[in-house]
Amino acid sequence: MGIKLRHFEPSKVSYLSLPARIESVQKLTRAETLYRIQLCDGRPLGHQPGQFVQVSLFGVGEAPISITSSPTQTPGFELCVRRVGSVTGALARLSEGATLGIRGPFGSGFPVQQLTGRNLVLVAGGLGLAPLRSLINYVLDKRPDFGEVHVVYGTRSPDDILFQRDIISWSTSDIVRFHLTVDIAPVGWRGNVGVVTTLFPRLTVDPDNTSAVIVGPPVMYKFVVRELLEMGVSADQMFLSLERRMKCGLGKCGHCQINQVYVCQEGPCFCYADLADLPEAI
Amino acid sequence: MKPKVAFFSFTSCEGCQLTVLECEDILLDMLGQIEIVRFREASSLKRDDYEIAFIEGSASRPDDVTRMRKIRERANLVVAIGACAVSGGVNFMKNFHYLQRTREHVYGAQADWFPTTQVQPVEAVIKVDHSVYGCPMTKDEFLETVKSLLVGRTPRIPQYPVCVECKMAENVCLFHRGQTCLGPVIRAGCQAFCPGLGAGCDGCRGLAPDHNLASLTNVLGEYGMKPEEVRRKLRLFNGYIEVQP
Amino acid sequence: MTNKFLANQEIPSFLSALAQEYQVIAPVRRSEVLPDGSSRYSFQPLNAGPGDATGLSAAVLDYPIALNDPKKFFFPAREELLRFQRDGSGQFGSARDLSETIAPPPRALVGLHPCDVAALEQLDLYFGSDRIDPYYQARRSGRLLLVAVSCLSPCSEECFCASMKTYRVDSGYDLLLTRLGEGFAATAASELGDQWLQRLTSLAPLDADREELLTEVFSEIEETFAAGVAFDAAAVPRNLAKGYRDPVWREEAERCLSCGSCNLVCPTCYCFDVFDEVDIAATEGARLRTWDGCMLKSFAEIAGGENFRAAREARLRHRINRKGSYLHQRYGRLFCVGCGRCASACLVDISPATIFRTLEERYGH
Repeated sequence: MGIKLRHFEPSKVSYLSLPARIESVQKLTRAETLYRIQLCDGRPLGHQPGQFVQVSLFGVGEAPISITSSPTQTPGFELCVRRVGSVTGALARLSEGATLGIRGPFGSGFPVQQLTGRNLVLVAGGLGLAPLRSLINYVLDKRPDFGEVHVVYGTRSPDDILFQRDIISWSTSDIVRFHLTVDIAPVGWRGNVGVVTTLFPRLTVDPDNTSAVIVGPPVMYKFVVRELLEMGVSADQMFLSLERRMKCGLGKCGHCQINQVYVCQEGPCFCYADLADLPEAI
Repeated sequence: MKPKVAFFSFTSCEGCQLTVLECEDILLDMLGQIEIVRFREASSLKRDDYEIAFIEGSASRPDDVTRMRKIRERANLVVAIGACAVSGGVNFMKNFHYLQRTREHVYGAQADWFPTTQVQPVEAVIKVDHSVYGCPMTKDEFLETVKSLLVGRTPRIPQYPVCVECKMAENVCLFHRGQTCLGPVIRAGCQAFCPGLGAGCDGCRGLAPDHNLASLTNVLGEYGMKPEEVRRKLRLFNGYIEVQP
Repeated sequence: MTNKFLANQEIPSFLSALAQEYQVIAPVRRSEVLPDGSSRYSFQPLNAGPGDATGLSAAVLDYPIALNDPKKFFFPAREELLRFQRDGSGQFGSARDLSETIAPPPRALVGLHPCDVAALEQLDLYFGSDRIDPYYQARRSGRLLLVAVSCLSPCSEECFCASMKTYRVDSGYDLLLTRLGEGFAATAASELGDQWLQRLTSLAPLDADREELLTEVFSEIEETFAAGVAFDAAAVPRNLAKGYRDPVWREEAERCLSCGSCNLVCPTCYCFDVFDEVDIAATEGARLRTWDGCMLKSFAEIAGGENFRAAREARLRHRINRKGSYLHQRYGRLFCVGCGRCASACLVDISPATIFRTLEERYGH
């Protein structure tokens, strides 16, 4: 076992990006916006759930953004962007019809093959729902391939809930069990209050046949993993996505390194059992 | 629509405004991008409809604070330019002496005519959005700031110390020459100007955010500089760090 | 392969001959004699014309070590990747990849020490395999003659090439110059080197006496460096793994200045930052890259403010592990050549050699 370091057929890298058009812009929360984007040449992006792209704006720079739409939902793809830096700030000023540059997709996505046929517990914290949504909607579009599906989402407050349209459809659907919690609730909130693990007692799954995928802020992982291990989910059936600084996406610039791996190559999706090899990971 | 820009001067040598004028090769291009509505060293215009305010100098007179607050009310963005504005710079040395004695020393018999206060950098008085470091500020960093504001991004200002630029330029380390230098703890961005000329860094760009001053003080000790001397040396431009919250 | 003798007085004509076809790059003095009795040197392109301070006569072939290694000629401290035209009205604009325009002149790099050669081979492996870096490759695959100079003894107290086994290299260069009294033995290590020695007809072949002397010099080199071995390089990856949580990281990092000097002078450091610059009209500009360093705090910080290696201790552990373990896992070799530049540049005496040795003492049995 252990992490397999990726090697490639030698090929020249390029920092040129493909022009892409913003098809629609939808403000999700105060800080997050959803962009539907289509490559100008009309081709699909060809990504796997869990991969990311480098969004490029000349004069401002590039920023790594995870793809939030399922590859089953073409044409185009979606990015959910939180306004935190220069590129994301400049993106926020763009509207429908604007064009930007896209490099990628990069990295290793979630191991869809390995997840096939299993019960799934998909756990998202905060903005972690953005990458996880690519998998959730992929799974729902290929529903017969999977067992019982639980989606668990924790976020700071009701105002921070992302993808409300998806959430309404997940909550009212009988093909997925959706669980939501917020850290802080205003008066009148009737849902669950507390960190994401407080929802776990509701998950009635057979741990032997269950895989978990977890995406959230770094502090979340330890607690969620501990809880899942206690439930009996095995470490090699837990997958998570790690965030790091990524400048090139090509395994060259060195910024995203965690121990011996480059997150932009071997990651961002990792099997939890493999993280024993990466003490710096979480 | 060109953004309207104003330059304001407080206690300083006005050398940073001069640096703006030294951008002569691209000054005209710059004027194609911004409209300058107030700039004492170069124009008689005195309009108050600015969006971006560049402030040089520190507050050191009673009405300076009021003036700065007024600027903050009018401007969308305030940029502190140069050491005096960013951290009090050389002016800050005044705060380590008795105010009245300094006043008498400078103004002599007329001291009573000139009210004076403790020196405050701009950020101690009003919110500062961006800082351009150095004494005087560097031309490149000023232009980087202007261009960044035009494209709508955060200016790329080094967070690392001067050593990085010295090593890139293959300067011989001043410590290896038997001299001393504050470069290891001072914010880069000057292209290691002084060390490149064989003079130790005096720290005009302020401490780098991740400095290890305690360790450098030990190193300087090995070169015969006592901690008290290190502190005095830092006071030339960085007295502010002794009182900064 | 041809072996010849390059007498001291023939060095100028040797360099002139090279200068007919190449831009000659060699170490030149960069400082007066410093308090420690040494001087500093730097690889610089030399003018082919006679005399002057930047001419061929400035080349110094007997020198301890150059401030920076020759990496800078293939991977400059700052370079443009793309040039772009912006479009102010929300459209993407257009860009040109500058790797296609890189056309370095034919270059002769003279005076590399074995550690520099070893470092260049490591960079070749990194930039030239998997995802190939076209900028590095364009500069590296230009016409190039590499003339190495043998080290007869360690060049500084900080160098640890004896332990890293990089004080002698058998490949990766065209010609090797080894000091023999009043001149250098010039031995060819490639076709190109061999052709050059044959063309340099004014040089005498290495006679039997000198051949013998050369063999002696090489065995003396072996003896001298064998005496300086401070740790077992082969055990470094294992000791680093065992010592991952050793207090040595905290102990050493406590005095670390976080100045990044060690990264910037390292011949096998290749990390870079990517950023944009625009002209004042903001209509055109370039995407550039510049050397970066994992010892600098901002290195692993992301836009939201989260820093994945905020502690000095974690950064030091990362740097040393990259050299001695992480890249070894990827490429099967150590990414450190023991040149000691990092340790010489460090004002607080942090050296990979000390750490490797400490870990060997603690975990090496």
